[in-house]
Amino acid sequence: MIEAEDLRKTFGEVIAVDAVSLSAPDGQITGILGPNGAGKTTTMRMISTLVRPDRGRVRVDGHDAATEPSAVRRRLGVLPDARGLYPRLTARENVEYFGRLQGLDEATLRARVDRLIERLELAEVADRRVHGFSQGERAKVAIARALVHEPQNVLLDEPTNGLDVMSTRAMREVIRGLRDEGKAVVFCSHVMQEVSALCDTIIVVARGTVVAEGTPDALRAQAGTTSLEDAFVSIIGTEEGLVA
Amino acid sequence: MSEALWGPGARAKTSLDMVALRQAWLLAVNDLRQEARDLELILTSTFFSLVVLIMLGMSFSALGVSSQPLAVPGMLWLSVAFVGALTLGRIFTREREFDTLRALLVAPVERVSIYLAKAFVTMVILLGCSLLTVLGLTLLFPAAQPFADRPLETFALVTMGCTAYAGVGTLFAAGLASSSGKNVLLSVILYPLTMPSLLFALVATRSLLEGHESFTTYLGQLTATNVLAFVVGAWLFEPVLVGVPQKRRGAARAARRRR
Repeated sequence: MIEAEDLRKTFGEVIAVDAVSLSAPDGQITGILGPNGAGKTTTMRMISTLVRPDRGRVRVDGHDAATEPSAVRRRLGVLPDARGLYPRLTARENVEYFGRLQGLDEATLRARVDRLIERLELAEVADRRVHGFSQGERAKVAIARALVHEPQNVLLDEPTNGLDVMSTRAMREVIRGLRDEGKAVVFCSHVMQEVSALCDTIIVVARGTVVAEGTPDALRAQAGTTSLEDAFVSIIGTEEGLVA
Repeated sequence: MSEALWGPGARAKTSLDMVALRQAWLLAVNDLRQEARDLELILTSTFFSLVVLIMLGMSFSALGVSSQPLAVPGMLWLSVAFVGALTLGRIFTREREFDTLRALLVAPVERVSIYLAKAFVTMVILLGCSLLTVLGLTLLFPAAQPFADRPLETFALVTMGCTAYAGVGTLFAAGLASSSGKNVLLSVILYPLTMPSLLFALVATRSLLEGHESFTTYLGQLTATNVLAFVVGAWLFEPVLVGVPQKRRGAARAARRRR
């Protein structure tokens, strides 16, 4: 379970995130939706201990990110927006490398990597260098790397960004699978279709603050609209930066 | 997580120091493996060392044998300083270009492990180039013959000198990897801060070439600067790499205003 309380982050004079609180329980997909520049990625970075908040706190499975960052990192699997793979290593080597850094022994690591390669349908490219991979293949390798230590909590930053239809569908299946395994899944996106198709709870962020929170039905009811897209636009106050 | 070598269940069994060292080893091996595949840093540094060596040979070939013990240490450590700057400028390139640093920082990797790994890789490359330079100087200048006559002392000296340079330099190379890093900082800050180590190395080298007994004393001093460089480097690495939170910077600014 991921809990964030009253997070604030400023960069110079710019307030990137202000008073953001959220709770992502196990066995649910919690989506953070907002236009570009709303503060989604900064919030994700604070949760993943990459950026220290100026105020507020983050707890992952009861561990405080400020005082126990290593414990928090061990319980998180993170898919960063830029994927961050070593192009001169093969897909398998990329995943194994991070598994070793997580402290897995060789037998467990090999078994898990084989399982992930099969689950994510990476067998054909597993032993090829990542250089030259498509966006979808990169995303899958990065997901495998995030899951190799079987974390209870998964953070996905724009997981379907740049993916084609087939890869997007495959990624959605993976995300639903994580939820069904009882993991707490948080993913941020500016694509409404993604969020509405996957999320149990949606947190709408605009201008660095949470402007609405609830199930898709609750958000529609709150905005008094029948379509989720209209509800988002009504809540945020603008269509700018959102993708249907 | 029961099968983890470290993690909640294994934490009591494995001390933090051992975890950090093992992670540093994994990180260094990964860097060296990638380097072995493209030889980017190795080739650049080696060719640069060779060019410097050829230029030194051509420029100082007429130098008298009696003056050579004064000039050869300068040639060696100047070459190390240049090759070091070249290496350090690119040691975080993979992390910067492919954004792998973020993936590394969200994994439970001790920050000191990243520092130790990068310093180790820098040191290995620098050591290889330095040994090449030592070999070239020995062939080009008769006064550099003690390098060949006392190989263990020479190896210890070059290793210590390169380690000190890598220890300080890696810290500033980390600054380049972060978005706030500016390339100019490397030269402006790196050279003044590595100067003490380079000076100790320079004096120790001259002492070795002239056969003075004080060589071991200078080597001891160089070792002490190594320890200092690594303690300070390990301590400051995380703030340099990931930055200081705004609140602390704000508090520091407020304290300055109060003063």
